[in-house]
Amino acid sequence: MKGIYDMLLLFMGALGFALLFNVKKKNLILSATGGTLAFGIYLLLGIYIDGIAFRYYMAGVFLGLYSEICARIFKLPATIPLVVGFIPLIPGYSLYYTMHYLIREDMDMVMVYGLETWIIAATLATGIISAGAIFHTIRKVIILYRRNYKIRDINRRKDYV
Amino acid sequence: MKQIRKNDTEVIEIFSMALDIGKNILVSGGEMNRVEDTIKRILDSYGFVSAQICATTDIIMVTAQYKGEYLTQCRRVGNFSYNLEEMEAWNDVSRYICKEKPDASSFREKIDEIYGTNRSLHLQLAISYLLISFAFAMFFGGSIAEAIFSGVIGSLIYILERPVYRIWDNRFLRVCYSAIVSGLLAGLVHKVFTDCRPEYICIGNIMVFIPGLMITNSFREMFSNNIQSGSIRFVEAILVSLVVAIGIAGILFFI
Repeated sequence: MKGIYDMLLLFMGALGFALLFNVKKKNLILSATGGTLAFGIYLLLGIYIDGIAFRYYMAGVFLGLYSEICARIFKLPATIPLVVGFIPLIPGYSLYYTMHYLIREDMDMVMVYGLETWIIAATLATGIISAGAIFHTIRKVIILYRRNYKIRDINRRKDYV
Repeated sequence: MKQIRKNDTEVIEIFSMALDIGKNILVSGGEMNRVEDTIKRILDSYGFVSAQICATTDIIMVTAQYKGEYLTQCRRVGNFSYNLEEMEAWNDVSRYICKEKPDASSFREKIDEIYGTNRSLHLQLAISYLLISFAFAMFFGGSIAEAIFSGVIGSLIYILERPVYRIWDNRFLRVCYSAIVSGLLAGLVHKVFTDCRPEYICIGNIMVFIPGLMITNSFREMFSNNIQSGSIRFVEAILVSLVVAIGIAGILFFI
């Protein structure tokens, strides 16, 4: 129940950022949903896995695939669902507290929050890159398959004639 | 070495406008790959060959060959801020141009159309500050009263930062000013309503300024082979977050 409550709040936050980034009205809900669902994946994986790195990685992969698919279906740049979708996942809180403790010279806490920021940002980014790689490989394979099929088809027709 | 002839002004104009489109995509929040890809596609469709494009966060440089002669131009890129509607419009125009290949005057008309559609966003942005501050103050454990104060302070920050942003061009000064205003208003609320904790009010506002998105994107740029641009964004994100922390912690220390 706490998870759904959190997701609702994050959806509202993502919607706010979508407005801040001046996303078109018809794409507002679409772009805010991606990040919220990705955070849902992060929470769900928390039932089975303790660490945050793999959970953020999988959330990143989901978000990457979501934005690529949205880009193809709704004909918009993949950046739009991606940038807004990042909002529920980005390490804003830990980045702020890294600097907060740095000013207070509490180096132990700087290490804790600094490493957390580093892990979240790096795993999210690798997740997005992996999703892009998976998507583009599948696309390339389909294009190559179609091209080969056409060539074979033409050759067959030539033989027949 | 041969010079470009006078009747080639149309070629130069098209080359120049391709760079303008690239610059506008970058300024409105597009990635380096998208910028480089867009410029390359436009130049390719108009018959330029061996286009060499280098886009970083601060500068775009392009050299391309047209009928045996080389053209080189660069664009200095200023502060970037996300405006995804505008980015989508530039993206659509670039795709249209690649497909239809209009002449220089129609090309210019298309660009001017987008420049002309800039509308006032003040109300929308004030609402966005309110929504973000409210949602994140609740998310990070604030009470409803604290979240409401955070939201109202968020909108007030937007109103108070506009006149100052017109004067100051330095992004660090701007963010520091916004953070100080946030800290001051949260402190004021704490003085009047002692139950409201200023840290929880501030955390909602902090999420508007803190460059969490920029730091994640910097890693993404670095992993996509743009190590130079990624590291510039990374350093910028660290500095901005430091400035936010200095602004807020400095004020909250005195309260």
